[in-house]
Amino acid sequence: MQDPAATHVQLLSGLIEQVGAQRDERAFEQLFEHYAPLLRSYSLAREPGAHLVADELVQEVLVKVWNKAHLYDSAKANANTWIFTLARNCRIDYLRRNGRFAADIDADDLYAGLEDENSDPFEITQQRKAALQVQEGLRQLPNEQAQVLAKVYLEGKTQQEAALELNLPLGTVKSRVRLALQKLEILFRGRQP
Amino acid sequence: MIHYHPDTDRLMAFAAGTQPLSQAICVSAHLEHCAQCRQLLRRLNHVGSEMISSLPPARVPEQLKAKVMQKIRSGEAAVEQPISTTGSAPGHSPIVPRCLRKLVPGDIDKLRWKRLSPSIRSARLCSDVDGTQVELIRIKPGGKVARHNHTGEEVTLVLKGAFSDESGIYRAGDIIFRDQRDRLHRPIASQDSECICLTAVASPIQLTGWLGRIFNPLIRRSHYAH
Ligand SMILES: [Zn+2]
Repeated sequence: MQDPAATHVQLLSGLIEQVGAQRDERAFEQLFEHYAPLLRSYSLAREPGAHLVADELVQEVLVKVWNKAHLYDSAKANANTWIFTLARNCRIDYLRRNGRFAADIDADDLYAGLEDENSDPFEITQQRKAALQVQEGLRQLPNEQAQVLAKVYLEGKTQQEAALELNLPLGTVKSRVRLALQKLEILFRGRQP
Repeated sequence: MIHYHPDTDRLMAFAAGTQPLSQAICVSAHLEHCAQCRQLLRRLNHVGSEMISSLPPARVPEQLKAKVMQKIRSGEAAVEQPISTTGSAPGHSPIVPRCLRKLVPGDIDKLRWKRLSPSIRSARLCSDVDGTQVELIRIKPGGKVARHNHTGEEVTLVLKGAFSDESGIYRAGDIIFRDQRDRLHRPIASQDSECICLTAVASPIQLTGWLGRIFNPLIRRSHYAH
């Protein structure tokens, strides 16, 4: 028996590939149903109450899904991770347009080619396992560790900002992040900080 | 062999997209050189993706789906071509990181190089909203950078050649972060070849008082000069 969560991700990956190969609107609508509420939630995590901004992000990311689906390769990337990178890039570009970043460089320039999983089958299997470990591990993470990860990944805060908001010393935030990454087996104990 | 990497906190900020652009440019350029950090980046991306997946789904307004369907049907959405991520486009200096190709479209020799000292030239690429300057720096073989303290954070990525300072020797792909805790830092390029670096300097050396007001613009320009 396969893990139901893994099966679900595979289903979503298959839908993206269907959109890529056949411009399949049915498959695209299913992707919309699944991802639009999560993307909206992602945007609201950073700017609570900013519903128009959230709607804008949903539209932008899903239009990107349509435009880039043919470049997606399920053998190399998990559907959720692919969508996450699109959403993060849309957020960065939104902030840049609104003056947080000044130069004429967009998020796609920064990340192009860096996140593609390489085609080595061993590495692909490793990454798949890593993704499942993260999913499993997040559920078991102590609240205080999950909270700092959410500040960074969902609310888009720096560690300094997270420390201020949580009224904690920066060192405490850093050590919580470190413990969390070790539990999720992202950081091997051997790696230098 | 790369010996100096961004720490995990910085890679996580890069994965989450929370870094200032100037720093993200340098980290991106490092990742292009470093398979080990790219692998860690992919793992850090899994965290972001699983965090989004575990969010409570927000209610989506009725008309949103119709809007998106209309956009993709009207052809307003244009199917994208893959961005070339291998090799370098014709006319590009191979040492220019991919993320900077828009700002350095051709040969780096065609940039506007400013002479800072007999052995150092710099070319400004862009500045971040916080005032951080992103520049390319060329140091002649054996050239010395003026001894300086840091008032803000300074990020340096070696693109070509090598340089050394009190703490080590840095080669292509190495990334170095320095701030005010690192006192008196005096880099020297290696004797055998020119050294080209990408730098992001957060805030210029500050002087106070009337003298400072007169000289600040000069000093600002010659942060790396003798
Ligand atoms: Zn590295």
